[in-house]
Amino acid sequence: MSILRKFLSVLVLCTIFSVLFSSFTFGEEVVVTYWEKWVGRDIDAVKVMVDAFNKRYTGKIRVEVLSTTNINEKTLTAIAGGNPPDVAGIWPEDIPQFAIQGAVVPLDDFIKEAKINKADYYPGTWSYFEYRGHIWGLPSTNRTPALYYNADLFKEVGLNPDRPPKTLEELDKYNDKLTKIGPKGEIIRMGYVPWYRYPGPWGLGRIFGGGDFDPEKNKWILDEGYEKAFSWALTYAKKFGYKNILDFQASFGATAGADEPFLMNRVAIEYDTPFRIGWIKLYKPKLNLRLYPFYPQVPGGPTNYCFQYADALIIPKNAKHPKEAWEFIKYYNSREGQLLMNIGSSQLPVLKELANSSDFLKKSTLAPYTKVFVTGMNQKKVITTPKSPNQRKFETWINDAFQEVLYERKSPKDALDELRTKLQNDLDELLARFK
Amino acid sequence: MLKRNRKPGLKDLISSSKERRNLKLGLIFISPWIIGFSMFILYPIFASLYYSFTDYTMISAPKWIGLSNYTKLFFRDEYFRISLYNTLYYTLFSVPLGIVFSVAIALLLNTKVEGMPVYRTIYFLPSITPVVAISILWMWLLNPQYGLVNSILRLIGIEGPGWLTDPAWAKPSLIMMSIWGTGRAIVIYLAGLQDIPQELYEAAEIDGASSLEKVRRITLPLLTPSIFFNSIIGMIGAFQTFTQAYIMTGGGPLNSTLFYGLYLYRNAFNYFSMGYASALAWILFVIVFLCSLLVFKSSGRWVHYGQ
Repeated sequence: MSILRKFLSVLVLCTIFSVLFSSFTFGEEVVVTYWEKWVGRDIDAVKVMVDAFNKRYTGKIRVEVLSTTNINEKTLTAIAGGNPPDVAGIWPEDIPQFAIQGAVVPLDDFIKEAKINKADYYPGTWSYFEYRGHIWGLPSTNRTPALYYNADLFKEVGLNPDRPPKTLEELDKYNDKLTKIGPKGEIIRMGYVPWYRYPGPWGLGRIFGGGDFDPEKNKWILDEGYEKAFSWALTYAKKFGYKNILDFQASFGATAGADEPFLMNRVAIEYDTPFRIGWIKLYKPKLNLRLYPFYPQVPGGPTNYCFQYADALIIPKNAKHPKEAWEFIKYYNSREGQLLMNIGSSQLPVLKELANSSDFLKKSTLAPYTKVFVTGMNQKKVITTPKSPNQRKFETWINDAFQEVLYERKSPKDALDELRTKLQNDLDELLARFK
Repeated sequence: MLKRNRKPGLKDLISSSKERRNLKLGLIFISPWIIGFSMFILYPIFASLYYSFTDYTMISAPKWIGLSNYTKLFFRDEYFRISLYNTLYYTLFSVPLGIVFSVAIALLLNTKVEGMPVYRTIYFLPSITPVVAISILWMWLLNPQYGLVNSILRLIGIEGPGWLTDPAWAKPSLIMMSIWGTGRAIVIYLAGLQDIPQELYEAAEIDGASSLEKVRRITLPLLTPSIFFNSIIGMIGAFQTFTQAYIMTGGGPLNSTLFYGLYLYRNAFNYFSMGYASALAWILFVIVFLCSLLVFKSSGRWVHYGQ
């Protein structure tokens, strides 16, 4: 009995001590946990900015960065478990859902107090965070794709390396010349793969002048523009054989890595965001890279436009230190923070003035391509991803529909009609849930 | 101190202070397991049953909606039917084929050949390799242009299909992969084979039985308890396949590898429908339970215990 008593009392003491110790903080320094989706060189660049913040706030606030894959799912689970990070660098697609359910702290008051001005931001980037009359987060960085192409491969097949494809017709012609087929009919290199990287089936529809979603009426559109886009992609599938192209794509390496197909000369033209510049400089500095700010023009589609995406910073509900988290986000969105952040990571600032300033043009590691991206970003007509509560399902289902067209199981019209109906039914059901 | 010749019950267990003390000590010693089991297994099971009758996004409080999730599941969700079909297809092929191959390999591994421990280890290795690593490895093995499988097929003049890129071949590829990983079952069969008394084989020898007849008449019947065990375990595991689909194909191509577990995961963590996902989980439980019951009921006919 005495042994058991001793054991139990030691156990109880240990428990008390560990509980006491865990709630004890040294001094007044507040630790802000920041989960971010990037890896490798991209997260290293963020850490430079975080270090600068920590130095300025030594003794008061210390930000700890954690590289987190599957960040949206993990943030959701952490919020549900009541133990979220203070700042989460999520993909913005989930913001409408998070907002409807009060999973995120609205930043309206913070923003007003800090006198942050919407007009300072790129309009597309800012728009991801406005929903139902409130602001639910701020951007960490901007993403605008540009057309990358490999000048050496152009020269190899007799194309002018200083002349990118500027129309859809040219893109098709260039692709025909650049695509290399092996002795057994297998694809060794493709000029351009219409469904690899940006803009994806959603973006292609917009490039072809299609409408995606009407947030006022909560209506999914997906009209003739999308039909035309899907039909155009189908021409590539038919010409080279969709199975052949898929076999070819099966050996593509990860998008953030050394064996990405553009770096490996397996794809000659790619529409991608600025982060790729950093990886090219790291793993394939000898690649004879050229950049053009625009996607080849589609007849009847929008002109002088740009895609503006955003990476999001939110403060989850029940974050332990929302005020300190806001200090960090404020710094992140300040001129100084944005400069530090986007120099190292080869990304784009969210502030218009900074992106066009000589400061950024001189220091950005996107050089000598900085001006190309900024030119694209400055376009007045802006395309952003739809803000719908069933955005996730849209992403999955439009890919399914796109594949059904490419596998020639359905015509573009049928696939899109079914997709639209499915999405609308799902959205109506979802909205009824949250009335 | 039994009265009236009734069976001993709990009251008798704690009738003396010494026995009471023993019971208390025993419970305290297994209390860590009981606490863990209750918190991490029992509570989630009942919580998910409750959630299956609610609309639960995880970040708002659950809202009771009665049987709505279940009616949606059965009547208004094509992906439920697709994922169930994919999972049934996979289970129906991978479990029996797995049994056939692993029994055959176990028989081979039970012969008296030099270096048998090495061979046994080699066959066991896949089952202790993490599934994620196996998935990535097999993505390369099955690569249509450069993978080993198609390269070897090319040597004998066959142009292999796009294993993971062709909707018709994606599930067979995963079935192939699961057969490759049956190391655990093989070990259980080996143990079962050791249990078969040698005298039976000797008696058969005397009667002039061939090797094939020995396998048919002695080995297989006496191995049926192990086969029965592995078929239940294998079936339960096959119904819950998730990792391979999640990593290798993402449910594609054309939802041909959208397994039930993957669809459940998507509903829980991507579509903000944890309540619906819980309903899916309980339907799967019922299906697996019924299938196991079927196998149990049929076992009387083909499983031979004892001599």
